[in-house]
Amino acid sequence: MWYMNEDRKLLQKSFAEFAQKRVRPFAKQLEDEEASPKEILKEMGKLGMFTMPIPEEYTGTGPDYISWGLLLEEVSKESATFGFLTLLRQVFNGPLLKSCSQEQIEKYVIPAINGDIIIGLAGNEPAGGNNLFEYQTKAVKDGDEWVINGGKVLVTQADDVDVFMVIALTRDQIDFRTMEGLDVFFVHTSDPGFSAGHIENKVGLNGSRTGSVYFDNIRVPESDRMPYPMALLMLFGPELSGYGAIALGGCEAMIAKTADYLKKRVQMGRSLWDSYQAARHDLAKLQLDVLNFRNALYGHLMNRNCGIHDSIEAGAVKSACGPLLEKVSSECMLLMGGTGVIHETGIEQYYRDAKALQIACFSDKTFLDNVANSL
Amino acid sequence: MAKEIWVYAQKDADVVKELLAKSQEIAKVIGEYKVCAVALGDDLKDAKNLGDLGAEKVYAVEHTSLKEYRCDLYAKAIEKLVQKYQPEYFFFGATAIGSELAPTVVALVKTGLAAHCIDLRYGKDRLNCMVPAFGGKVISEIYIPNARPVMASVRPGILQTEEAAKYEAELVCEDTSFLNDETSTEEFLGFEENQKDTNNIEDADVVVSAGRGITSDASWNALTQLADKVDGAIAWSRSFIDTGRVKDESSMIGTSGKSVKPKLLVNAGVSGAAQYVCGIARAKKVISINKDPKAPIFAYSDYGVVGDAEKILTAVAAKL
Amino acid sequence: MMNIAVCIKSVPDPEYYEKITIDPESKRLVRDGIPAVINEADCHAIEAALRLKEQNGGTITLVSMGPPAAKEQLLEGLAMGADAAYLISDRKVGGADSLATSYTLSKLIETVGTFDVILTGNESADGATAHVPSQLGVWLNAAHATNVVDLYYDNGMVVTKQFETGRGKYRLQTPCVIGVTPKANEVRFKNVRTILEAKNKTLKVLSAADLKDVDDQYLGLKGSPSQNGEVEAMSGNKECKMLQGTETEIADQVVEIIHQIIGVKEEA
Repeated sequence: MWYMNEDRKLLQKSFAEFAQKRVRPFAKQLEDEEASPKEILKEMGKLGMFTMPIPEEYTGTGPDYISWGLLLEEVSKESATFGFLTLLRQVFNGPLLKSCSQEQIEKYVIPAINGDIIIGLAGNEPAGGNNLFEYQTKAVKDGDEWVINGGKVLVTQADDVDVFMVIALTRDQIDFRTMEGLDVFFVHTSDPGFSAGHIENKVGLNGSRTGSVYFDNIRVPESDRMPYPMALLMLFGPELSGYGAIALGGCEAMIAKTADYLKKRVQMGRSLWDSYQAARHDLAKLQLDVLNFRNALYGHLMNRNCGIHDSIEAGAVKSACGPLLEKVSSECMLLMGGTGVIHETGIEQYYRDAKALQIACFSDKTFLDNVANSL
Repeated sequence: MAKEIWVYAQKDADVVKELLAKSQEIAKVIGEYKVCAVALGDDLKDAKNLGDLGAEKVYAVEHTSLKEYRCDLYAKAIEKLVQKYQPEYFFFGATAIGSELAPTVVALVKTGLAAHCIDLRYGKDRLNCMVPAFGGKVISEIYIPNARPVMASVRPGILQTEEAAKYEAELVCEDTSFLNDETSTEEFLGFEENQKDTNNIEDADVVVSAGRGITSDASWNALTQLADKVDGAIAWSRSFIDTGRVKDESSMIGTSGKSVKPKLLVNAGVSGAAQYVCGIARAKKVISINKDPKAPIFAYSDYGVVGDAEKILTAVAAKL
Repeated sequence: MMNIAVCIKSVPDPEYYEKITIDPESKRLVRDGIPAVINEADCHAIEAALRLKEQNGGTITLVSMGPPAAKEQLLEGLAMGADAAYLISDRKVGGADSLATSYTLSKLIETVGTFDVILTGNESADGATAHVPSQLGVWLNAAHATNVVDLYYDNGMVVTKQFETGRGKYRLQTPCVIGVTPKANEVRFKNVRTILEAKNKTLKVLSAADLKDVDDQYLGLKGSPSQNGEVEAMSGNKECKMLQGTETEIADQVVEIIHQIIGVKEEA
């Protein structure tokens, strides 16, 4: 590949080894029992797997978004949920470097980069994901501290992180022009006022433990309020292209599995692969889509390596990847006949994951006005 | 060069008997070679009994410093013996000790060594040592054209031989006073014996073996039931260990495991990979069950069943 | 402070053993197109070296004998955390049996440094002779141990060797050569930082002329007392009778065969 070099080859091999030895045995528990992947995520952090896009002055080894893409790709070949949870680490760590004080970076972000803690985002409310102005979670100043009350919904890893970034209103109304009144606080889940509620039974991305969280008079020091909250919210955008790598890994795994199946399944002395040109061609068409998508994804990631962090371009990758994963999983299931729709085969979950991916972080349906505004 | 075939008589190792029998076979082919055992230790009063196992002559190397096995001292003592008598052939069992001692002696004496052989055949005017490579996928012929002695280490439990002739062995007690001044680079700190092996597959008359195809609880239960009905020891392949149900390698058959020689071996869900079949060469009768008609195991079986192991095992156990 | 050398070997990837064929005319192995990896036991030797370095301080130097392409495996060893790597690649040392191989490695080791401990994988996946640790010990005039399942430094290297009936513990004087088995440890995953540092470390390819005090008679084919003859594929030699019929019929046949072979079990 045009984007590979010696370092990336070594890294990719090492990511594949980790994915096969750690993620693969765990994938079934994650999918069927929604077991907590927290320990494996921390292990990845300790092995430096979250450092690739991070600049060296923050203990990173980057910025190299291509290596990051390779990590997401390899992990997602075993589990899209795992790829998603790996992606979130950078979705948060990257923007946090711009929204936090130096003290917060040392206290929270660098430990997150190195796998000592897991940070999550508690943002969504019943008012609506993008409807920040009607959020109800409030933080009220009391001396040197803020007292937070409220709740969030559809929070990923609701009961499985160490620290949450909580979006809360510090005024009755957010100022439309300056966005003053909208703040983000670091809240420890060990705080007695924190509780996680119901974990949703949703389609796909099993194991991401999406659920509700509640804040009951949680006291947070002023030093745990981010000085530049808008930077956090604005910078999520460019990181979302990581979803492309998740879909890419999933598609590659499914196509390989399907090709292998068709070549080994023998009926009347001939493999299905040899007997049915239609099947070969169906799979070939999927492969063409994947090859084109891979170039688009890594082209975008190369742009990021060159310092171009374009939300629209990232959104283009994100909004294409869900439908691609859906299409490939749908086709592969049918090409594998009855085996394809059986859970143990390992294809049908990507079909469900594809739907969840189209909603995760932000819905593909809310993105289009952003694109129109750029024209 | 002495017309002698030497066998390192490791204490309490069954392979010594196999090697002495094989050496007698080779001696018959090449004519007028004496089969000798080499014993080391601090108390060799029973060394002459090696004649019962097939040795015509026994070289006894006795010294207090040889009480515990230490590779460097044992190797030095053997090197001296080899330099003195110059045997033409020298065989070791490929046991943990043999696999270490033989190459050390070879490096001291500067000769050639074929390791982990599964057979020794005399032909083309030379001794051909058959050695598995690439996990047993291929068998290489190794020979030593010029250097002497010709040395080989042989896997225990694999050689197929006639019963060895017994002898009233000639005992040669070597002068080991040179060991009074020898020091060792190894300090022996202690030995911890394994837990008693209640499931001795190597000596069992009947073995029932599980392969990768035994995945469900039902199929495993059917297998254990069958083993119980036939009083068989349960063994398995490495692939079965990889499924996670068991971890114990002491019941594992294969190149890095054990060899079995039962009257009856039943393989269930075993594919017959090279590494596995190396360990079943001496099984007398083999019945194999596998759902893949092309599984390699059938080429090593007397009877084959293409089918679902769980169903067959359950049905058979019920009827026994 | 401990200077550790680790001998590694580039071998065909065992995952691809299916693809190895035998040339029908020359009766030699054909292994083209099979990717190479670091021999598995050698990875455990590198892991053992990393632990010894963590406990005692020092350096880890990789040494290997192989074709120029083996550089890739040495780079991977550096990515695991070794500090420097040397490859001896020369026609003169090729065609070697284990005695000549261990001689060459001993000369390479003496040329590139002075070491307290030399680790090797106990055996290689392809040849599996397990000779190198002992023979290296003899050539280097050092203590040596094979089949090691545990090792640490305490006034010498304390090793636990696996025997059939149990485990023996020995203290070896340094310098010593130790054959590490996969049972000794679990190889750690590579760290991204260590991977990225690999390219900045010493990785040199030497030829036979670079080796110090070499006696040519012990090198390569000339120095190999054992020779390879023909190679044959492992094949079964039994005539297998495939049982036919319904499941019940087959089960009946199997029961009868079992009774024939081991007799009928007496009911208590």
